[in-house]
Amino acid sequence: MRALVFVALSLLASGCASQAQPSEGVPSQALLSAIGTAQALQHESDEHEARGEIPLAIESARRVLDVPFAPSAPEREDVRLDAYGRIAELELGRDDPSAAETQANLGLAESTRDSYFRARLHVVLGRVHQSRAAHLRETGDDTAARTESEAAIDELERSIAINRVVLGLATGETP
Amino acid sequence: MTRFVRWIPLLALLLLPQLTSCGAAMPSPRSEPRQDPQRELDEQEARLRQAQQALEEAGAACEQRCRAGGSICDAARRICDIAGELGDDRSHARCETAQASCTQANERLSACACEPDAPDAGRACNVPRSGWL
Repeated sequence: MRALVFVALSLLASGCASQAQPSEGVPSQALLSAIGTAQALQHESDEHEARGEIPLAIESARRVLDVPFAPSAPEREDVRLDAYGRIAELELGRDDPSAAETQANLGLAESTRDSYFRARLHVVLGRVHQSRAAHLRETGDDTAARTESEAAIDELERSIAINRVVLGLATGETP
Repeated sequence: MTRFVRWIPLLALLLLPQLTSCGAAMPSPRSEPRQDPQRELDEQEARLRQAQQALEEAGAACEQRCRAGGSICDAARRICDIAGELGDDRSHARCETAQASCTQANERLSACACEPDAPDAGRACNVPRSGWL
Protein backbone atom coordinates (compact mmCIF):
# COMPACT_ATOMS: atom_id res chain seq x y z
CA MET A 1 0.00 0.00 0.00
CA ARG A 2 2.71 2.42 0.98
CA ALA A 3 4.60 1.35 -2.09
CA LEU A 4 1.68 2.44 -4.19
CA VAL A 5 1.67 5.78 -2.41
CA PHE A 6 5.29 6.06 -3.44
CA VAL A 7 4.48 5.12 -7.01
CA ALA A 8 1.72 7.71 -7.04
CA LEU A 9 4.12 10.33 -5.62
CA SER A 10 6.63 9.58 -8.34
CA LEU A 11 3.90 9.79 -10.90
CA LEU A 12 2.78 13.17 -9.65
CA ALA A 13 6.34 14.40 -9.78
CA SER A 14 6.80 13.19 -13.33
CA GLY A 15 3.44 14.57 -14.35
CA CYS A 16 4.30 17.92 -12.87
CA ALA A 17 7.62 17.87 -14.61
CA SER A 18 5.86 17.37 -17.85
CA GLN A 19 3.53 20.31 -17.51
CA ALA A 20 6.07 22.62 -18.99
CA GLN A 21 6.16 20.31 -21.99
CA PRO A 22 2.62 19.01 -22.30
CA SER A 23 3.48 16.52 -24.99
CA GLU A 24 5.76 14.48 -22.73
CA GLY A 25 4.87 12.15 -19.91
CA VAL A 26 1.59 13.61 -18.69
CA PRO A 27 -0.03 10.83 -16.65
CA SER A 28 -3.06 9.64 -18.55
CA GLN A 29 -6.44 9.07 -16.97
CA ALA A 30 -5.97 5.37 -17.69
CA LEU A 31 -2.70 5.27 -15.75
CA LEU A 32 -4.11 7.21 -12.82
CA SER A 33 -7.12 4.92 -12.80
CA ALA A 34 -4.93 1.80 -12.86
CA ILE A 35 -2.84 3.03 -9.94
CA GLY A 36 -5.97 3.99 -8.02
CA THR A 37 -7.45 0.53 -8.59
CA ALA A 38 -4.25 -1.17 -7.47
CA GLN A 39 -4.15 1.01 -4.37
CA ALA A 40 -7.75 0.12 -3.52
CA LEU A 41 -7.03 -3.59 -3.93
CA GLN A 42 -3.96 -3.41 -1.69
CA HIS A 43 -6.02 -1.57 0.89
CA GLU A 44 -8.67 -4.28 0.63
CA SER A 45 -5.93 -6.87 1.10
CA ASP A 46 -4.71 -5.03 4.22
CA GLU A 47 -8.23 -5.07 5.63
CA HIS A 48 -8.63 -8.79 5.04
CA GLU A 49 -5.25 -9.47 6.61
CA ALA A 50 -6.14 -7.39 9.66
CA ARG A 51 -9.24 -9.58 10.10
CA GLY A 52 -7.20 -12.75 9.74
CA GLU A 53 -8.79 -13.55 6.36
CA ILE A 54 -5.52 -14.53 4.71
CA PRO A 55 -6.96 -16.32 1.63
CA LEU A 56 -9.06 -13.23 0.87
CA ALA A 57 -6.05 -10.98 1.49
CA ILE A 58 -4.05 -13.02 -1.01
CA GLU A 59 -6.88 -12.91 -3.54
CA SER A 60 -7.13 -9.12 -3.30
CA ALA A 61 -3.38 -8.76 -3.78
CA ARG A 62 -3.48 -11.21 -6.68
CA ARG A 63 -6.14 -9.07 -8.40
CA VAL A 64 -3.61 -6.25 -8.52
CA LEU A 65 -1.84 -8.34 -11.16
CA ASP A 66 -4.98 -8.17 -13.32
CA VAL A 67 -5.06 -4.37 -13.32
CA PRO A 68 -4.32 -3.27 -16.87
CA PHE A 69 -1.28 -1.04 -17.26
CA ALA A 70 0.23 0.01 -20.54
CA PRO A 71 3.29 -2.25 -21.01
CA SER A 72 5.41 0.85 -21.46
CA ALA A 73 4.31 2.48 -18.18
CA PRO A 74 7.30 2.43 -15.81
CA GLU A 75 4.92 2.28 -12.83
CA ARG A 76 3.67 -1.12 -14.02
CA GLU A 77 6.74 -3.02 -12.86
CA ASP A 78 6.80 -1.44 -9.39
CA VAL A 79 3.10 -2.10 -8.82
CA ARG A 80 3.35 -5.72 -9.97
CA LEU A 81 6.50 -6.47 -7.99
CA ASP A 82 4.84 -4.94 -4.95
CA ALA A 83 1.86 -7.28 -5.44
CA TYR A 84 4.06 -10.36 -5.88
CA GLY A 85 5.94 -9.41 -2.74
CA ARG A 86 2.79 -8.94 -0.75
CA ILE A 87 1.36 -12.29 -1.87
CA ALA A 88 4.67 -13.97 -1.02
CA GLU A 89 4.69 -12.41 2.46
CA LEU A 90 1.12 -13.55 3.06
CA GLU A 91 2.01 -17.08 1.94
CA LEU A 92 4.98 -17.06 4.30
CA GLY A 93 2.69 -15.84 7.05
CA ARG A 94 0.50 -18.89 6.63
CA ASP A 95 3.54 -21.14 6.67
CA ASP A 96 3.70 -21.97 2.98
CA PRO A 97 7.30 -21.14 2.02
CA SER A 98 7.04 -22.96 -1.30
CA ALA A 99 4.14 -20.79 -2.45
CA ALA A 100 6.02 -17.71 -1.20
CA GLU A 101 9.10 -18.75 -3.14
CA THR A 102 7.04 -19.24 -6.30
CA GLN A 103 5.51 -15.77 -6.04
CA ALA A 104 8.83 -14.08 -5.32
CA ASN A 105 10.44 -15.83 -8.28
CA LEU A 106 7.56 -14.82 -10.55
CA GLY A 107 8.15 -11.22 -9.54
CA LEU A 108 11.89 -11.48 -10.08
CA ALA A 109 11.31 -13.01 -13.52
CA GLU A 110 9.31 -9.91 -14.47
CA SER A 111 11.76 -7.39 -13.05
CA THR A 112 13.90 -5.54 -15.53
CA ARG A 113 15.84 -3.08 -13.36
CA ASP A 114 17.29 -2.64 -9.90
CA SER A 115 14.72 -1.19 -7.55
CA TYR A 116 13.62 -1.33 -3.96
CA PHE A 117 10.84 -3.68 -5.07
CA ARG A 118 13.23 -6.13 -6.69
CA ALA A 119 15.45 -6.04 -3.60
CA ARG A 120 12.46 -6.71 -1.39
CA LEU A 121 11.67 -9.92 -3.29
CA HIS A 122 15.17 -11.17 -2.45
CA VAL A 123 14.46 -10.45 1.21
CA VAL A 124 11.35 -12.60 0.91
CA LEU A 125 13.45 -15.41 -0.60
CA GLY A 126 15.90 -15.02 2.28
CA ARG A 127 13.02 -15.43 4.70
CA VAL A 128 11.85 -18.51 2.81
CA HIS A 129 15.28 -20.11 3.33
CA GLN A 130 15.30 -19.00 6.96
CA SER A 131 11.95 -20.66 7.47
CA ARG A 132 13.17 -23.89 5.88
CA ALA A 133 16.34 -23.82 7.96
CA ALA A 134 14.31 -23.52 11.15
CA HIS A 135 12.12 -26.45 10.11
CA LEU A 136 15.15 -28.60 9.26
CA ARG A 137 16.79 -27.82 12.59
CA GLU A 138 13.65 -28.96 14.35
CA THR A 139 13.83 -32.27 12.52
CA GLY A 140 17.50 -32.64 13.43
CA ASP A 141 18.94 -32.23 9.94
CA ASP A 142 21.64 -29.74 10.87
CA THR A 143 23.60 -30.06 7.65
CA ALA A 144 20.62 -29.24 5.45
CA ALA A 145 19.62 -26.47 7.88
CA ARG A 146 23.06 -24.93 7.52
CA THR A 147 22.79 -25.03 3.73
CA GLU A 148 19.42 -23.26 3.90
CA SER A 149 20.79 -20.65 6.32
CA GLU A 150 23.65 -19.87 3.97
CA ALA A 151 21.21 -19.63 1.07
CA ALA A 152 19.23 -17.15 3.16
CA ILE A 153 22.32 -15.00 3.65
CA ASP A 154 23.00 -15.18 -0.10
CA GLU A 155 19.54 -13.80 -0.89
CA LEU A 156 19.77 -11.10 1.77
CA GLU A 157 23.15 -10.03 0.41
CA ARG A 158 21.62 -9.79 -3.08
CA SER A 159 18.96 -7.54 -1.64
CA ILE A 160 21.57 -5.33 -0.02
CA ALA A 161 23.57 -5.12 -3.26
CA ILE A 162 20.48 -3.94 -5.18
CA ASN A 163 19.54 -1.37 -2.56
CA ARG A 164 23.11 -0.07 -2.57
CA VAL A 165 22.63 0.66 -6.27
CA VAL A 166 19.29 2.35 -5.52
CA LEU A 167 21.02 4.51 -2.91
CA GLY A 168 23.92 5.33 -5.19
CA LEU A 169 26.44 3.58 -2.97
CA ALA A 170 29.10 2.30 -5.31
CA THR A 171 29.00 -1.48 -5.56
CA GLY A 172 32.78 -1.56 -5.69
CA GLU A 173 32.87 0.06 -2.26
CA THR A 174 30.89 -2.70 -0.59
CA PRO A 175 32.48 -2.79 2.84
CA MET B 1 -6.76 23.57 -13.43
CA THR B 2 -6.90 22.94 -9.68
CA ARG B 3 -3.19 23.57 -9.49
CA PHE B 4 -3.62 26.84 -11.31
CA VAL B 5 -6.34 27.92 -8.92
CA ARG B 6 -3.94 27.30 -6.02
CA TRP B 7 -1.46 29.69 -7.57
CA ILE B 8 -3.93 32.52 -7.99
CA PRO B 9 -3.18 34.15 -4.60
CA LEU B 10 0.56 33.96 -5.19
CA LEU B 11 0.26 35.22 -8.73
CA ALA B 12 -1.93 38.03 -7.48
CA LEU B 13 0.76 39.00 -4.99
CA LEU B 14 3.41 38.91 -7.66
CA LEU B 15 1.34 41.14 -9.91
CA LEU B 16 0.10 43.45 -7.17
CA PRO B 17 2.65 46.20 -7.81
CA GLN B 18 1.72 46.33 -11.45
CA LEU B 19 -2.00 46.20 -10.82
CA THR B 20 -1.88 49.05 -8.31
CA SER B 21 0.62 51.24 -10.10
CA CYS B 22 -0.67 53.95 -12.40
CA GLY B 23 2.66 53.93 -14.11
CA ALA B 24 2.11 50.38 -15.08
CA ALA B 25 -1.46 50.87 -16.08
CA MET B 26 -0.97 54.09 -18.04
CA PRO B 27 1.79 53.95 -20.57
CA SER B 28 3.77 57.11 -20.87
CA PRO B 29 5.82 58.13 -23.86
CA ARG B 30 8.74 58.75 -21.48
CA SER B 31 8.49 55.44 -19.58
CA GLU B 32 10.85 52.55 -20.21
CA PRO B 33 9.43 49.88 -22.48
CA ARG B 34 7.79 47.31 -20.17
CA GLN B 35 7.63 43.59 -20.62
CA ASP B 36 4.34 42.23 -21.78
CA PRO B 37 2.35 41.48 -18.55
CA GLN B 38 1.07 38.22 -19.95
CA ARG B 39 4.59 37.12 -20.74
CA GLU B 40 5.72 38.11 -17.27
CA LEU B 41 2.82 36.15 -15.80
CA ASP B 42 3.80 33.13 -17.86
CA GLU B 43 7.39 33.39 -16.68
CA GLN B 44 6.39 33.62 -13.04
CA GLU B 45 4.08 30.67 -13.51
CA ALA B 46 6.87 28.66 -15.10
CA ARG B 47 9.16 29.45 -12.16
CA LEU B 48 6.48 28.31 -9.74
CA ARG B 49 6.06 25.08 -11.70
CA GLN B 50 9.78 24.43 -11.59
CA ALA B 51 9.94 24.98 -7.83
CA GLN B 52 6.93 22.76 -7.23
CA GLN B 53 8.38 20.08 -9.48
CA ALA B 54 11.72 20.14 -7.65
CA LEU B 55 9.93 19.81 -4.32
CA GLU B 56 7.81 16.87 -5.42
CA GLU B 57 10.72 15.08 -7.06
CA ALA B 58 12.80 15.50 -3.91
CA GLY B 59 9.98 14.01 -1.85
CA ALA B 60 9.59 10.98 -4.11
CA ALA B 61 13.33 10.40 -4.30
CA CYS B 62 13.65 10.65 -0.53
CA GLU B 63 10.84 8.15 -0.07
CA GLN B 64 12.56 5.59 -2.25
CA ARG B 65 15.93 6.18 -0.58
CA CYS B 66 14.46 5.77 2.88
CA ARG B 67 12.87 2.50 1.83
CA ALA B 68 16.10 1.22 0.33
CA GLY B 69 18.09 2.22 3.40
CA GLY B 70 15.58 0.63 5.74
CA SER B 71 15.62 -2.54 3.69
CA ILE B 72 19.44 -2.72 3.83
CA CYS B 73 19.38 -2.47 7.62
CA ASP B 74 16.56 -5.03 7.85
CA ALA B 75 18.54 -7.46 5.69
CA ALA B 76 21.67 -6.80 7.75
CA ARG B 77 19.80 -7.59 10.95
CA ARG B 78 18.56 -10.85 9.48
CA ILE B 79 22.03 -11.79 8.24
CA CYS B 80 23.48 -11.17 11.68
CA ASP B 81 20.73 -13.24 13.33
CA ILE B 82 21.55 -16.14 11.01
CA ALA B 83 25.29 -15.64 11.53
CA GLY B 84 24.72 -15.90 15.25
CA GLU B 85 23.03 -19.26 14.72
CA LEU B 86 25.76 -20.53 12.40
CA GLY B 87 28.51 -19.26 14.66
CA ASP B 88 31.41 -19.46 12.20
CA ASP B 89 33.93 -16.80 11.23
CA ARG B 90 32.77 -16.52 7.64
CA SER B 91 29.19 -15.83 8.66
CA HIS B 92 30.30 -13.25 11.22
CA ALA B 93 32.33 -11.52 8.52
CA ARG B 94 29.23 -11.41 6.31
CA CYS B 95 27.29 -9.92 9.22
CA GLU B 96 29.93 -7.21 9.68
CA THR B 97 29.88 -6.40 5.99
CA ALA B 98 26.09 -6.12 6.00
CA GLN B 99 26.16 -3.91 9.09
CA ALA B 100 28.68 -1.66 7.40
CA SER B 101 26.28 -1.30 4.48
CA CYS B 102 23.55 -0.33 6.92
CA THR B 103 25.84 2.33 8.43
CA GLN B 104 26.72 3.64 4.99
CA ALA B 105 23.05 3.77 4.03
CA ASN B 106 22.19 5.75 7.15
CA GLU B 107 25.00 8.19 6.43
CA ARG B 108 23.75 8.58 2.88
CA LEU B 109 20.25 9.19 4.17
CA SER B 110 21.19 11.90 6.62
CA ALA B 111 19.50 14.49 4.42
CA CYS B 112 16.22 12.57 4.37
CA ALA B 113 13.72 12.69 7.21
CA CYS B 114 13.46 8.91 7.53
CA GLU B 115 11.78 7.51 10.59
CA PRO B 116 14.61 5.87 12.56
CA ASP B 117 12.48 3.63 14.75
CA ALA B 118 9.94 2.27 12.30
CA PRO B 119 10.21 -1.46 11.71
CA ASP B 120 12.37 -2.83 8.91
CA ALA B 121 11.87 -1.74 5.33
CA GLY B 122 8.56 -0.10 6.05
CA ARG B 123 10.22 2.88 7.62
CA ALA B 124 10.29 5.83 5.34
CA CYS B 125 9.84 9.54 5.37
CA ASN B 126 7.14 9.80 8.01
CA VAL B 127 4.60 7.85 5.99
CA PRO B 128 2.49 5.50 8.14
CA ARG B 129 3.30 1.84 7.62
CA SER B 130 0.68 -0.53 6.33
CA GLY B 131 0.67 -3.65 4.27
CA TRP B 132 3.69 -5.51 3.17
CA LEU B 133 5.72 -2.47 2.22
